[in-house]
Amino acid sequence: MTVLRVTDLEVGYAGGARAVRGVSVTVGAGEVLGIVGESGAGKTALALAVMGLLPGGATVAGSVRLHDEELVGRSDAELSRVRGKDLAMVFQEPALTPVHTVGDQIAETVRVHCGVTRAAARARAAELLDLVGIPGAARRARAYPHEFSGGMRQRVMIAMAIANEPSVILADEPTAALDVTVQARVLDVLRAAKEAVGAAIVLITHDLGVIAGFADRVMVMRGGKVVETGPVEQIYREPRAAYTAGLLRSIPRIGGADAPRPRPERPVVLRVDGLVRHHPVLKGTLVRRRAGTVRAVDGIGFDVREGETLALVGESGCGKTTALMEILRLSRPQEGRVVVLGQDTASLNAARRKALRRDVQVVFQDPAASLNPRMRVAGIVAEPLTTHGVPASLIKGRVGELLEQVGLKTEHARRYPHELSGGQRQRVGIARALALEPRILLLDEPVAALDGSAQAAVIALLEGLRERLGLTYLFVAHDLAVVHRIADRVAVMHMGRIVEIGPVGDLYRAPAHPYTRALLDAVPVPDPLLERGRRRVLLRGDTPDPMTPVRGCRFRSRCPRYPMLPAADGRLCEEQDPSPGRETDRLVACHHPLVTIGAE
Amino acid sequence: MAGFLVRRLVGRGVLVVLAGSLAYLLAAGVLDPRAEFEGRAPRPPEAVVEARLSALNLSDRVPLASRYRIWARGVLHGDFGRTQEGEPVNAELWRRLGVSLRLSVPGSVIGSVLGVLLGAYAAVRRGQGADRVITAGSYLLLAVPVFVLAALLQMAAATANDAMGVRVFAWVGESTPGEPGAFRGLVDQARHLVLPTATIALAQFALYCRYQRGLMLDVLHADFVRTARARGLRRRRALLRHGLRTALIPMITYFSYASGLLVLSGVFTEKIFGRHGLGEWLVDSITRGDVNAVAAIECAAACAVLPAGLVSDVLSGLLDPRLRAGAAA
Ligand SMILES: Nc1ncnc2c1ncn2[C@@H]1O[C@H](COP(=O)(O)OP(=O)(O)OP(=O)(O)O)[C@@H](O)[C@H]1O
Ligand code: SF4
Ligand SMILES: [Mg+2]
Repeated sequence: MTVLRVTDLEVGYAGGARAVRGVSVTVGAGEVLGIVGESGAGKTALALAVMGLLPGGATVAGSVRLHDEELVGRSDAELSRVRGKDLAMVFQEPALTPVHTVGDQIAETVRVHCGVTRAAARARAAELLDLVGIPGAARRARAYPHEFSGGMRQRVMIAMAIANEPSVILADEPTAALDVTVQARVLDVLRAAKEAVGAAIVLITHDLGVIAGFADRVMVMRGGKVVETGPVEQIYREPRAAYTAGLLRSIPRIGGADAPRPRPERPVVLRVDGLVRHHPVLKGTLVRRRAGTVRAVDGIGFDVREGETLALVGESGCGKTTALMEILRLSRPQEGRVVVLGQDTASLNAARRKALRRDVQVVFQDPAASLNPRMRVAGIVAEPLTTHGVPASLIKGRVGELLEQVGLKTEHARRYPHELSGGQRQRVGIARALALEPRILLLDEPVAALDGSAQAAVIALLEGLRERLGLTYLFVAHDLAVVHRIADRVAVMHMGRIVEIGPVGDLYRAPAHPYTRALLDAVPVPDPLLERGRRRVLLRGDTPDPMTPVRGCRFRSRCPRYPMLPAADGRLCEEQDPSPGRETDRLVACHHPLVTIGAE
Repeated sequence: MAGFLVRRLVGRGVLVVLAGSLAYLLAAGVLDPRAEFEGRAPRPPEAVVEARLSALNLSDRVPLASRYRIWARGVLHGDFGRTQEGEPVNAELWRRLGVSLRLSVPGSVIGSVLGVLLGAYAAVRRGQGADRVITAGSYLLLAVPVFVLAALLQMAAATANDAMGVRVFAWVGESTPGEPGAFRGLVDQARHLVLPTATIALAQFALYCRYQRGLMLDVLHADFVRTARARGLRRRRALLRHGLRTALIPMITYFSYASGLLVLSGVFTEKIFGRHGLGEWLVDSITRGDVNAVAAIECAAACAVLPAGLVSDVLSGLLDPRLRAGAAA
């Protein structure tokens, strides 16, 4: 039975952009329809049009029928009786009103639609919070949104969406802002919620892995039009449209056979030993007192050889970027040692440090924020050259060369950053980093802000540059599939520590630390059959507060292995902080690793 | 929260002491009371002037540091010294403070409440007729100087009085001399308050209206308002319960401090309507070079910021749970 039928829908934004052009689609009762497409394909516009929540000035034509009732052209008052009752939506940003408690906001959702008492609505709110897996629901209902993590807020959004047992839930990128581990749990909650109320779900995402495990049917969109629609197996196995095939090819995948390669015997260009970076947390207005310490980086060590790529992975807040920034500072760390190209950063004088700066360059996550919006591309790329005193006569030629190296055309040199696409902007960032012919490139989530195809192209570029210029990369990322493609070695970070380090192939095939295992399990596989057949170990709880020190293993509260251990073994986890040994190629900081690692 | 408030209060207390001292030093250093005495006709003999100045702790022949010490000791005992005429500053200060407060408190409360409401309404109706009218009105009010506004109001009131044939509005001074009976007296005082209060309220209204409209525009498209609508709230309800409530928070701080300072900034209104308040006194005292009076008024203004800050802290804490958490931690 069809619950939602969209026919020839057209959406135009004020300013003339035609976001949706003639889309027709149906959603059956209890069905999950996945909508994929690159950024700007009109996915969000479609969802907002169905909800009747497009911004002012937008025009809608065509028809949206829910249970055979037309929604297009209805008044706000009429639509508000449907919204949140029979048709609910979960947004990408879990945006809750900051000044009301989450319990009140859920209760409000219940009360606007049915005249139950305040107390009954409160009770229902607690019940819903419990359903979406918030521990201590009755107590947590009195918390304000800022006291919840991103994943918990998204679960509250789901709780509100199912509060009145709607027949359709629209979910627009519900997990795009979350870590993989959290994403996996939120998707599970969404699935459970769907089962509980029997709603149909329209899941919008650009992540084909998420769709594979979740959707029954898939609709591929591009430029406001439907490219193709079909059952999920068919779309993944034999897509009819070339565009879909290309989209599927561009996904970085984990897996495939890669033979274990021995580490090349090349000189170490970057060595980090027991590096510590603690941030004091201050409080008070007139008199500032130290209230605690965030152990952002708490004694990490690794080495990177010439031409090698080491990836630092982990959930948000685990200290990846801080570690990178500590290395980039090229000065004495709070504790530990950083040795760059054979020089200890603690002993550098200003002149030597400046010389070394040329060899270590950085590329940031957000190309839009890291490029000066008022400078042309040519000026941005030339900037490091001028600061390091390269004669003006040489600069122009060098800029052209650099742009060519990163696959930009000469005409791009005259543009401003906002006149480029996301992928092109990131290329400018890379060109700027390459200007001084560095030997080490520090990359902080260089492709996280890009969508599928742009991501694949930038990764290919980075790989090519590494070959041609003999660069060494330290690559920070949270996307394990991207890391699998580009890195030789991986270091997994958790709460300021490296819990496991090793060659990509070994580590992905046989993770030794329970945390690594959980991270890998959380990554959805872009293949419907494999994804559904998989057994996964998910993490319990969120990352603990980094300010409270933990005795013993700091992963214990979330470790899936710890509760299974016999009491005697478990005591070790409670009492001793497992530390990775030193100076080997594969290390794990766990008392009871999942696979034994041969002591070399 | 109580501990947090006490800490903030202590911090502000230190600031008030600093501000008060600075005000005295500046006034004593810059103003020239000697000139005032010497300018009197007939010109008093030099020795008399000096004796008079010394008695009032105003003599510029005494080092500034020792004058300050004497003044500060007095203030610590709750005594702001004497005016040039030899009257105690304290009595005058209290009297005028009352006059100013009676004028500024209702004016600013009415003005800010109206401003917030109409500003928020204009934002919701952005670009439509109501928004245009409100925006044009508030810009006009901002552009018109207070004394022009006051004069216009007086003209309007006079026309109204004539039209009705009774004197409904009165605006000179605080009350009509010789109005009999306690009740009639109160009514008469209220009657005299209408125009000056309206002047202050209108000027405040324009500021608050502009500010609130801007704040409200920011939350109009906020994701949480959209979320609220997606849950089934009508646009108006979502904007009121979720949008306005959030957009009010930055306003509170502004409101508290602005009304703390309003005690002084009512000077034009006081002058025009013949009300002898603090603002008027400050201007007169500066022209006369009356150091002690100027310092006392400045101290009073600095102290007014204390309760204003306290009100701001309490209100923001009540409205914004994020602040509360920060305070408790
Ligand atoms: N408020 C707006 N005003 C004008 N144009 C808009 C507005 N919002 C979106 N657009 C345009 O409408 C088109 C479709 O946008 P939409 O947000 O639906 O894309 P999407 O598929 O959801 O992309 P993403 O994956 O980045 O979320 C784009 O060309 C976009 O630039
Ligand atoms: S040491 Fe114990 S608690 Fe820590 S990761 Fe290993 S098994 Fe889990
Ligand atoms: Mg979108």
